[in-house]
Amino acid sequence: MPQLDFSTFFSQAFWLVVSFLLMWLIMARLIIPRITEMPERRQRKIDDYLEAADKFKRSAEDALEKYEQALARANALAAETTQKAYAELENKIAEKERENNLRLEEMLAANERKIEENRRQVMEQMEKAAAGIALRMAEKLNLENIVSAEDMLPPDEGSQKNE
Amino acid sequence: MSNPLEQFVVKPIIPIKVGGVDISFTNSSLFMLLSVAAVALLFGVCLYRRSLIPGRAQSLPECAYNFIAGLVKDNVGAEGLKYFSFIFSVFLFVAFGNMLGLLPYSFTFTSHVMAVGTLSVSALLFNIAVGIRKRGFGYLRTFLPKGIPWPLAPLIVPIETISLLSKPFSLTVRLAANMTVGHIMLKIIAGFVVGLGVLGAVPLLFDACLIAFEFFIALLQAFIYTVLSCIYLGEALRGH
Repeated sequence: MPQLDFSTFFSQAFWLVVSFLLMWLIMARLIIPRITEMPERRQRKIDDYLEAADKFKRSAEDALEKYEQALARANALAAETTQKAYAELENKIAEKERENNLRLEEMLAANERKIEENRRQVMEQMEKAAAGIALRMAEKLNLENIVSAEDMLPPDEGSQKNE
Repeated sequence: MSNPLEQFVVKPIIPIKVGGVDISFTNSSLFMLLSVAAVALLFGVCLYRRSLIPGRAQSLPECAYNFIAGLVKDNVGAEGLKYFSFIFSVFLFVAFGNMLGLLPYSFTFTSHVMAVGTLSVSALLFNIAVGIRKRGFGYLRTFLPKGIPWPLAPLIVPIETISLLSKPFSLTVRLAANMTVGHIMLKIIAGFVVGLGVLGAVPLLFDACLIAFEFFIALLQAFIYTVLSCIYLGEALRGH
């Protein structure tokens, strides 16, 4: 078998070492730096882009936070204003109600007084009319001792009024 | 029929003798240098124009790089990437040596025990050097792993020594035997093609299938050789 031909062993070993060292040298010095150059640049670029994206994201988050704060402030202000307006309105309503109640009571009282007056007048007139009727009846019945309709009135009210 | 072993004969091209030692430039040496040249040429051409977005040509070296880098990371760890150039060279040297040998009239230097053995022993020496540089005297732990009681040392140390020395041996025999057997089979079957006349189409077809299979074996054996080199390097760096 030629594989076991000892005479060629030194030559094979020598040239293998030479070839392999040459291969290693070419790989380490020339090829591998050229292979890794582009992926490294690619990775750097990707990293740069990612970093930029991250920055943008952070600024967007900042803006969102600011916006939310402004929104919250605006909401608070609006709520306060609305509450104030409601309170004012309620105060006004209450005042008006009180006024109206007062006027109503006044009107009620005036009306009651008028009704009372009218009632009294009607009663007076009725009494007068009743006295007149009684006098006329007495005249028809020839009751001499009755002088006038005034005498037929009950002593308390009629007399006081005449005086 | 020609002798199927004839293809493995090492013939000197330029006889060189230094101090009585024959280091002639042979067909074996020629194909070793050719494999280096082929790798350098292929990768040089593929990497001639480089762009941020790789084209088809640029993808080839990058894929090879990522493939071997993944292998190193898995079997040696991230620290192993320092020795990436060594592993990468081993893989390409063996893979191209195997594949160039499959071309007609070529010589397969990886079918020679001595050539592969030299590479394996170089790898072992490299591993030992790396291990000693990384761990100092701790590298001696390779021969007596932690947790082994001292009385067992007389038993364990020889076993570990044999295990260490047998690594390049198994690497060498696996690769060289695979290459040798494949080429002998191709040659024997090819010998039938002429002898059988018209029926020679059958062994021809078989040889065509076989050579495709041999290309697969060539890459597979280069891969196995590389994986095992990675594992041995990892052991040298970390211990068992």
